[in-house]
Amino acid sequence: MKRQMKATALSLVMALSLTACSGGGAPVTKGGSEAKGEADKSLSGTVTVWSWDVALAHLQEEAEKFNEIYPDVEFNFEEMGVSQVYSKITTCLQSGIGLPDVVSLEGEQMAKFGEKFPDKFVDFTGDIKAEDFLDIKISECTAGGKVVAYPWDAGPCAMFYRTDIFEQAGVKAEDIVTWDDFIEAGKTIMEKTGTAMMPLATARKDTTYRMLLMEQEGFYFDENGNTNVNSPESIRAMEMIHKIYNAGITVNDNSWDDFIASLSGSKIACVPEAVWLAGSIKDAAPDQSGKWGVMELPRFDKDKESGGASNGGSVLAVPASAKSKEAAVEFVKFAMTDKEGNVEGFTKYGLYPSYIPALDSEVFKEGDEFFGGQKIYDLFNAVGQKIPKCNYTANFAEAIDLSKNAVSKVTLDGQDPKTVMDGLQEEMKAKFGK
Amino acid sequence: MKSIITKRNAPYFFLAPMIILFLAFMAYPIADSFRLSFFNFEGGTYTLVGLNNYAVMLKDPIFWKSLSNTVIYLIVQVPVMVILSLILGVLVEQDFLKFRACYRIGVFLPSITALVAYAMVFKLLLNTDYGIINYVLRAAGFRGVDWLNTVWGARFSIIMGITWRWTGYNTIIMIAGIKGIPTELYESADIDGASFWQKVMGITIPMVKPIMLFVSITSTIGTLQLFDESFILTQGGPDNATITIGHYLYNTGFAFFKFGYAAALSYALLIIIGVLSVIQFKMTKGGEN
Repeated sequence: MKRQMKATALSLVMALSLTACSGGGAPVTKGGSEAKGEADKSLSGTVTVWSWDVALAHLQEEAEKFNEIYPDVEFNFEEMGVSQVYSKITTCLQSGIGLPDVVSLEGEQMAKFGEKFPDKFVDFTGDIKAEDFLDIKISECTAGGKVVAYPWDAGPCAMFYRTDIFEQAGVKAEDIVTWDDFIEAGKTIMEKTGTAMMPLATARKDTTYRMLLMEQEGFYFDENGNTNVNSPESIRAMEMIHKIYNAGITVNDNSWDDFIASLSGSKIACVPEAVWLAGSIKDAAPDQSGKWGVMELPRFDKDKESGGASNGGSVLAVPASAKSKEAAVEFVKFAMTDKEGNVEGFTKYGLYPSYIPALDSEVFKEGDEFFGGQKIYDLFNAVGQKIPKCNYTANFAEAIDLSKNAVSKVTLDGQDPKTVMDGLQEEMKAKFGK
Repeated sequence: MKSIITKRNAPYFFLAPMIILFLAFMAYPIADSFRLSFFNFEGGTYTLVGLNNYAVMLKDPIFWKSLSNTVIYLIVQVPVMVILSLILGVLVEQDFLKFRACYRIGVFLPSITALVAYAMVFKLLLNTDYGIINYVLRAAGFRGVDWLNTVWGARFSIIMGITWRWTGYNTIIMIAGIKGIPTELYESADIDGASFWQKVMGITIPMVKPIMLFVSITSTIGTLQLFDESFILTQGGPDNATITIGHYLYNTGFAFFKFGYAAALSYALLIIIGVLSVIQFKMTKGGEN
């Protein structure tokens, strides 16, 4: 019976954790504007911060600077993993108990929190100078028409490539303009060096598809939040995935560890990824210094410049019922609009800022030794500015999960991209009701 | 002075801690999640939607897929495990065996391994490019198998995982059953000159049949509850080919924030398990065996 008892217990635990989320709501108070104009009055209280690894380290340094202006504010940093933050904040938002004063969240998940828990985060709409931040990051922070978080690091995407492998195969980066060029170059590289052109996840994620989609200024949802995955852009993106996969120039990207292994083992010549990959490459393959370069993501049409794509990056939010709300709001504003701090966050921890004044810093105009002295951040800057606005909506997390399945259907099963996307559109509409 | 505790009500006072805990952590959540299953969580509030969650569930392809995945695991895995645990049980209980306790421990050890830890180890072993299993296959001249990224490879990986994890546990139950067989039966069989096989087929298996049934049904229920393997080994992929209902329930509630729908899923699971439990109860005649 023991096994069965255990089984029953498990289902009950699941039931329990669901009900734990149904508690009463926290008292909702208006935030943001109250804190205005209080810089002269000394702030006090203890600000509890939930964040993860380098993000936390960076905030700790910002807290020290903040304390120079507001010595009475104390900080309590709680380090936890990304998923730990999510499970904890979800329960706390439901029950209204135990919320921190400041919490970092992945930008792409913010809209879900903001829409599912309206009025539970301080509204920064009136306060924030949206034009100081990259459009895409403001999109991430917007839920229900309000800006409910401060943008932090951004993830503009480009194509990282191995200059040595390109050279060996006689392929020139500047000749690759369109994705079709890219595939042809991939075939040459495969033939001459035996190296795969790029990693492509067939089951784990849909990132490449999403990049292709964003590049054409498309997204899962339209501006009203309606499902839009069988748009011509989306079908075109999925067709390109189909084409890339069928060209046999990819290696499967089964897990992050696998990906890093194929990267450091020189098994891939290119990686389409966000700016933060630069740091990961340096960590994983220090011996490949000088062998990397960065170019813009290939386009769909030779003559039509493409929009940029974005992947990753976090935001900083303040729960509306935070105990030291005023201090927390002030701290978030301080840290996120600290020009020098943003630059330091980048040089020390690789957190590429979304705060435009910080991006003007000289640091981003210097060449990077690892990339053969190439001024790669100029390129990322340009991409970052042209990433179109997107409507993330509360359904983003489920949408990427469903779209990941569509990628599997097209690659592993070889199904027709248009049919798959039409099916996906129906499935999402049924699930999201719009 | 009269004490509030009388001889009649004293037992309830002793039971009170358990009863309170049971009510708070079992009865209340069960009842409340049932209520929750008729609500939708939108924009920070719960709105009553009646049976809509259940209607959506019946049309949800992933729900049906997760159920059919579970059925696949059941059909393949349960018979294999029951037979394996019977074989192991019989072998471990042979009289000539020395250090029997060591074997028993060895067989049982996987069951006390943390689910997450073993799933992580399996993930490493089954890695397409760098895993030892593919290394051995390639060294032996075969082509490597993309274990975790193909529909059947991934399903087979999960089946291997749960078989490894649970066979030992069921073997111990089997051993208990085997030990309960009166030794006179074997002695008389010996006198009649029965061979090893005759004894196994003629005595052991008929005598442990009720245990085998018990093991099959508890394993069936356990399989319905699978979560860790799908969550860690394959993330439910590719294209939901390995997702279990427990995993889907988790995603729905904690990744997609559809708490009402997740509660409805948990009730569907509860009903399925309830039906199986009744069947088990009837077939083992009220747990006499």
